[in-house]
Amino acid sequence: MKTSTDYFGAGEGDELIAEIFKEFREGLPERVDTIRSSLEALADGYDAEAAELFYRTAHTLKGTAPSFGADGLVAPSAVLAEIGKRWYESGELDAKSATVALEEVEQLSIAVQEYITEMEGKAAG
Amino acid sequence: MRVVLIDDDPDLRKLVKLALEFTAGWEVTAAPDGVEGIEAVRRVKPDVAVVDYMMPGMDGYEVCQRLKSDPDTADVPLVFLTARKELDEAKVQEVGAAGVVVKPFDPEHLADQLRELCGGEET
Repeated sequence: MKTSTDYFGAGEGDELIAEIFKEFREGLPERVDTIRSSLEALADGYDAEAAELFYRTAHTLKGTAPSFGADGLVAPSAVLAEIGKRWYESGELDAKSATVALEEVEQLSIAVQEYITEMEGKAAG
Repeated sequence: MRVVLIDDDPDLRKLVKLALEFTAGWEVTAAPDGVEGIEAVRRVKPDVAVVDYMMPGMDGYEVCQRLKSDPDTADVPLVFLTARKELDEAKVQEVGAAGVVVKPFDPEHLADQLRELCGGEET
């Protein structure tokens, strides 16, 4: 797993890059909450706005995570983005993919916690 | 080099901005969406505009279309920032983009990638 100090080496940029990594790390629970709450909103009935938010949040995380060394977040967010895209484009959601989405949100949440723990350990050490 | 970066993810904007400013000494203006991005390109007249392909509201493709259809910005080289799966080569060529940087990218070599795509020399 890459950490902030794998980029740019030692030098004056370290503190800046470490701060950006920290902000990404600290913002992850909010991203997961957004995915989870939009999924909950969709469970009450299809809503295009919730479907778009679900899709875009997962898709953005899938694209951004690897640049922050959060490779473990890619697989669950990719599955969620794929499901969300289907829902958003079709204008409906099915029970089977909703069940998969729920499981993947939990996988994503676990992956986020593991990433945060590992990165905070490295930052402290 | 002056760069306008248009991407809706704030963390990615910060990372790209720092990467280009710190490793290459480039001047980066970052915008969170297509509307602000187009305005920034018109104002800054950058050497390259890096545009996220998929954004809420106006997507990267539309941003590029608008920039290319405006005589004031038509000559600005455009590079898409995208995940490989969503890449549509035909659209990239159709809109006249200089190329594509695929996510995840290596921040340390991003400046070289952009320079190469825009026809400049690598460092």
